[in-house]
Amino acid sequence: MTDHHMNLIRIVYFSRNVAAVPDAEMRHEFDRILNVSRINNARDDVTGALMFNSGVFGQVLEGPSAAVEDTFERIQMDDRHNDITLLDVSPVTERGFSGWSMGFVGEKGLKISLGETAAARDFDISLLSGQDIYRTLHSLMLRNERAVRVA
Amino acid sequence: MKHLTLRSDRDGPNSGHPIPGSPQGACALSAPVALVVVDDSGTVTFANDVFRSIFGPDAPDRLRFGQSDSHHPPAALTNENASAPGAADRLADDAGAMHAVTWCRTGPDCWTGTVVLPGRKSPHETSMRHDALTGLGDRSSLSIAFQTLLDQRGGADIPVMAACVDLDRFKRVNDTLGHLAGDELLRKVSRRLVSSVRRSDVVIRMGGDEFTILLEGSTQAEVEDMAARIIDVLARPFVVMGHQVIIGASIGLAALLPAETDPSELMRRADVALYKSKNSGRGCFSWFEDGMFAALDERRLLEADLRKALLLDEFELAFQSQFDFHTNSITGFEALLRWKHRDRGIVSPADFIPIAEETGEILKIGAWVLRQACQTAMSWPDTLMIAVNVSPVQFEADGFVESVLTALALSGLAPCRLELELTETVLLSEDKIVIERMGALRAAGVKLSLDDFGTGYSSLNYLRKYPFTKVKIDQSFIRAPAADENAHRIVTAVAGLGIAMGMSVIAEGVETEDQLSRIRFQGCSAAQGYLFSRPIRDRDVMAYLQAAKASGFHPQDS
Repeated sequence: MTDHHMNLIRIVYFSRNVAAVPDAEMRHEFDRILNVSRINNARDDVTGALMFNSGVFGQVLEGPSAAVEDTFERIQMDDRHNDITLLDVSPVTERGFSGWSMGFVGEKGLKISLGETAAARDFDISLLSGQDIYRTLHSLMLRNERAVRVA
Repeated sequence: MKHLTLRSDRDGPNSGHPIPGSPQGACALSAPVALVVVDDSGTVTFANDVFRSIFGPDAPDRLRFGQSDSHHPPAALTNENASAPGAADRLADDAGAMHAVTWCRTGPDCWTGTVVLPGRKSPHETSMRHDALTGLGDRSSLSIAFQTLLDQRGGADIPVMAACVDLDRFKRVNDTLGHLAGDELLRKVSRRLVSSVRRSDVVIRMGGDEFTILLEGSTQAEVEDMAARIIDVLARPFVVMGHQVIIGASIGLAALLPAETDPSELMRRADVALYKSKNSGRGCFSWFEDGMFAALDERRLLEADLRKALLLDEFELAFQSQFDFHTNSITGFEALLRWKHRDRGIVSPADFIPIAEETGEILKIGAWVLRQACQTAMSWPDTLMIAVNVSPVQFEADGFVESVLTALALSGLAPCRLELELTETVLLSEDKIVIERMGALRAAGVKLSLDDFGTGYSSLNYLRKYPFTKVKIDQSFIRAPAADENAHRIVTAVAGLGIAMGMSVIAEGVETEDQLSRIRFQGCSAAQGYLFSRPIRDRDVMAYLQAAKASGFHPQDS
């Protein structure tokens, strides 16, 4: 995928999952959303990553501006993602998640990376800034990349 | 607005001629139009009588359409010469004659096709026209869409309702990000609208940032749910050409009356209801109510009177003193505008200022207030300040800084004796202009105070970012009951912060000794309110000052 001469943007947001569903059902629903977004993103040349902890998603989307905006519109109109707070929209010169149609770091991933500490359990995504979410995801994805690809 | 009256073939074979002198006016015309609704899977979900009469009673089953989506209308698959250019947009009737279909996206997963009969009106007069920008039906398609709903509903008992949707703060997007971004935002808004309604509802772009939704068979509660959902989804952030954009929507709702067959009155009612939503703070919906037209008429009268008020010399200024705790003296007066109407009596600024802002009359009135206030202050001891309220509309208008400097020059008042009171709404305009204008005024020596602080967003950042010399704490905090500890903590915090930043902090609306001792304890440096003085006339100012001085500036005795 060549990004030269392309109008690349990156958006960062968090959303709260307000639907109270049992954990198992939630996991299933979550996997489904992740799969659909991976298929859509691969088709639309959008890359990014998602983290999840205590009912809050933090997400980064990057790619050609029109495609990212369309993806964001789709998410905005999706009732599963209500209460979205858009933290950052900015032009970028290169992608941070090249090769990830939608990288994912869940509670377990956050625990492994941040250590089995109270800090990891109480890690509140909604208190982070756009830059914080981007940096956290970026470093976690890079750190986990080797492990995931080896596995 | 141009009216189109459509009749089904039940009206008789000769109904397709313009009716001279018809009640809808000279441009009204009447022509049968064949309508067909096809969903995205290619299934015909509705065809009107005209359509069946041209294409045959079995047409809905006989005609086959390809799949469609929001960007691609359905293609006709039953044509013999299906590969010919343009064949997909033509339909063969019973006799094999081809008719052009014009498609219009009318729901989240359906298209409405219109076929104009040969020898009748030209297509642009009778078929549903697309709005080129959003792909929705345009204003001229309203009548056709309305007629389709009436045809579809089959019985008069099924309610038909209209919702007028108007975007809040759209103009600001156009002004700050440009028309291309404005257009892109309208496309996104259209898609959010279409996905917020049922497939049987019709979304039409009336022009600019106005949309109409026609609904059939919904209960009042369902229409309200839809309106609330639209307000919710349009308030969610948009990303437009790389920028975050936040707008909102106001909605007016009205129901079709049993005997009505024309959408124009329905639209008029929905419009006046929309007007109420916009005047009740926006971001809400209102139903049409009897009396709204009367209220609108009354407002028009007030508007006309307001235009004459300056000429008739009906405005006057009253002055309310401001008391400083450090010098224990009266440091100046705030000029308050009064409108004494010959028949109405005193009209409250809360009633006429919003109208003056909307009509632009505020520019003339504001300039008069500035000149009058400066001139009056010239007759006072030259240590006294004059504070003048500035409307956001006035501040945003071209030439505002010049009008202030002109008022100063004409009166000869020293700029350092003039203080302009700005509300935070001023700060929500384009930042570059706000900072530039405030800078120019400060450079000229004029003082600036932030009015009504504590209401609205009241970001503490305002105090750092803009060159205010004073902050006025809103009277709702001063009058908050003693038990409202949070209100009082806020006053303490704002007073501490303001004074640390070198500003004067004045409490507004001080009426009792208890309030006075509390705000002094909380750290405010000045106060204004009935405890010190009601607003008084210019000619009473000197006597008031002398009385205040004689009583040692103790407010209770003044």
